[in-house]
Amino acid sequence: MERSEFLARVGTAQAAAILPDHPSEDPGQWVPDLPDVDLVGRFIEMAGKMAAEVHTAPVDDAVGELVERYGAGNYMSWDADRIDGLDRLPEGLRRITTETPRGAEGRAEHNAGYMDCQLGITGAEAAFAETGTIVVRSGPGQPRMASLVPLVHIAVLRKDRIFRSASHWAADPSARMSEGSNVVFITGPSKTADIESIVTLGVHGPKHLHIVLV
Amino acid sequence: MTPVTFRERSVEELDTQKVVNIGKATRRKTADRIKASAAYPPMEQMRDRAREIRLHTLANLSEYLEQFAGSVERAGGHVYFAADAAEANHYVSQLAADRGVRSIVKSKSMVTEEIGLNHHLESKGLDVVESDLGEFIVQISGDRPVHIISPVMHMDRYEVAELFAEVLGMEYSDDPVALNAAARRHLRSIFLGADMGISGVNFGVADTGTITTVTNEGNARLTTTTPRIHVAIMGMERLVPNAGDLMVMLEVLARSGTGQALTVYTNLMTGPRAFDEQDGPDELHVVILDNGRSKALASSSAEILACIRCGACLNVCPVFREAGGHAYGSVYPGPIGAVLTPALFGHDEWGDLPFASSLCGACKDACPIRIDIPSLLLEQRAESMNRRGGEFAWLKPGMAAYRRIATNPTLWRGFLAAGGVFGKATGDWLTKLPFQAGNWTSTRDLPAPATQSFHSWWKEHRG
Ligand code: SF4
Repeated sequence: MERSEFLARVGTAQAAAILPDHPSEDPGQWVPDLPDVDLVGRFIEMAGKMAAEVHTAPVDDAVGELVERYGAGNYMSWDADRIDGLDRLPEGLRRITTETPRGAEGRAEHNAGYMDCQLGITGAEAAFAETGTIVVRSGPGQPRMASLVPLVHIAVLRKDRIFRSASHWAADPSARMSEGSNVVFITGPSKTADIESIVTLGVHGPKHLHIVLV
Repeated sequence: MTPVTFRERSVEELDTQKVVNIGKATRRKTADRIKASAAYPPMEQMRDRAREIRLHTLANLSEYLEQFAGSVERAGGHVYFAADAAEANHYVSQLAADRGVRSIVKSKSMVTEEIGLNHHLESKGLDVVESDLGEFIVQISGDRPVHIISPVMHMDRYEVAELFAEVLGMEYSDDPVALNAAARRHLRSIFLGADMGISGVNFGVADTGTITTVTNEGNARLTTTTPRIHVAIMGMERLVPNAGDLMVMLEVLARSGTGQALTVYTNLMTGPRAFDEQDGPDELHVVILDNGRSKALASSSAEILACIRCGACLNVCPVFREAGGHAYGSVYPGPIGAVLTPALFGHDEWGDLPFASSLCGACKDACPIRIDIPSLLLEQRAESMNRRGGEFAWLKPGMAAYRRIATNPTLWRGFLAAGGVFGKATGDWLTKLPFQAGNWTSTRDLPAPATQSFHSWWKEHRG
């Protein structure tokens, strides 16, 4: 249907709509009233409840320890200069390229490389204490895949980027929700409860989520 | 003969293992929702806020739609306005043909169920695979989703195990971990080779053109990232004005839908892959669907379009718990479906659904948007009677009396206190309801529906 015709039809319908009382203006920016807490402590507590593991050791040590734990296999990563406090990427592991060909040619072949990937290393530009959530944005040197395809996702987060809740983040000028084609809020590892409400981790995304604080 | 009314369909469902499974799962989900809401002090205030946002958006929908479309285009996406299912389906299959698409992967979306998109694409020779674990199970078993959030709530792990052994050729195992691992492997290879990914949209943000999907599994992220073309199908009512509003809706949705503080992956997408990004789809197409929504908007049931499809009303509904989702025959079952289905698709076919309710009010209490579902059910019943006068006319006097009482709190309390008096006072009309769920002469299940379940009531009275 033509856009103008479609919108005109909706316009006529909304004029005839019988709706309960509502504000004539958008209610606008709002943040819930929550008691003050230690943001870092609350974040660690809530992320833990969501089955993520939070690390406070220096970044390179923490990442090194995790590489050792999950070891062998391929990894994907954001560019090191995109990750706060990370000096070096894992040594001795093969890094999978995330630069995906454009157009119809070669994409499936490129994607086939994602079949088995052990580790993904990314930054996280913000977090929500109340829900144990990290915010991961796509951009140059920040592929979406690194937080999605591997079995283990390691995200590095600056402590001073922890906000009280999603609404508090959105109200902050740094949020810029539409910058980068993808912003994802990640709360714990991938899971499902589709079969008999039994929680199973690592459905399509990572089975393990590690958040390293700097 | 295939059953055509709720009553006939529900007779087939009652007493099956299916509804026992549904009963268990819905009770658990309800407990989770209540716990998650209680754990978050601002929840009640947030629900008020969410209601205001949704109603305000509906009242100004054409302006917000225009703004949204402009924002999506500014971000590099394409927008198509589809008047009905046929237009939407045609747009997608035409796009697939133009771009040489062979294989398509989908993430869970009720709106694509509504328009029968899979069937349409398959009829054009395209491979379409569902990637949500539950929807995948539905697809390979040739079943239909039983619930808008949990599509295989009615199955147990043994059924899934047999299905996977047969279809995926895995060794029989009823361990959910093994079943999940088999599905992960199978579906991942499909994701990686797909040319087109199709998702629904939980919310569109008017001022930025951002669309959101929420999933726990991560399948919507893969669907919208690995293929070169992403098509998002969105019911036209699913907008919010801005980012602040979106956060309110997301928190309310997660706590009400699955009892989570936030869904694992809340995915916000603005336009396709940017020129300097390494991955993401080359193209983004947003299909905005009317398909009866403008008709529903222009009616006295417009409020139903404020729904955010959390499923909470299904989980608390005594009728849904006992009859299951398939009894409704619609892709939208439960209280929301009993209003939305006739409002969108007409009373000729769906006029009996609004009667599939005991009007106990549990849905209204559970609804995060505080949608007055019982009143809307009455609106829809009245509409059914107007349209199908012959069949329902004899209900009219009693219905009018009931409506006066039910919409007035004082009268309603008096009615409840009076117990069985109502049946006498209004003549015996309610015992003759086509569905018979409304036998108010035995109002012991009001307002606490649990004292006599619909199930036991039905056993006593059917027939
Ligand atoms: S009507 Fe309310 S409770 Fe039911 S699905 Fe919609 S938002 Fe959820």
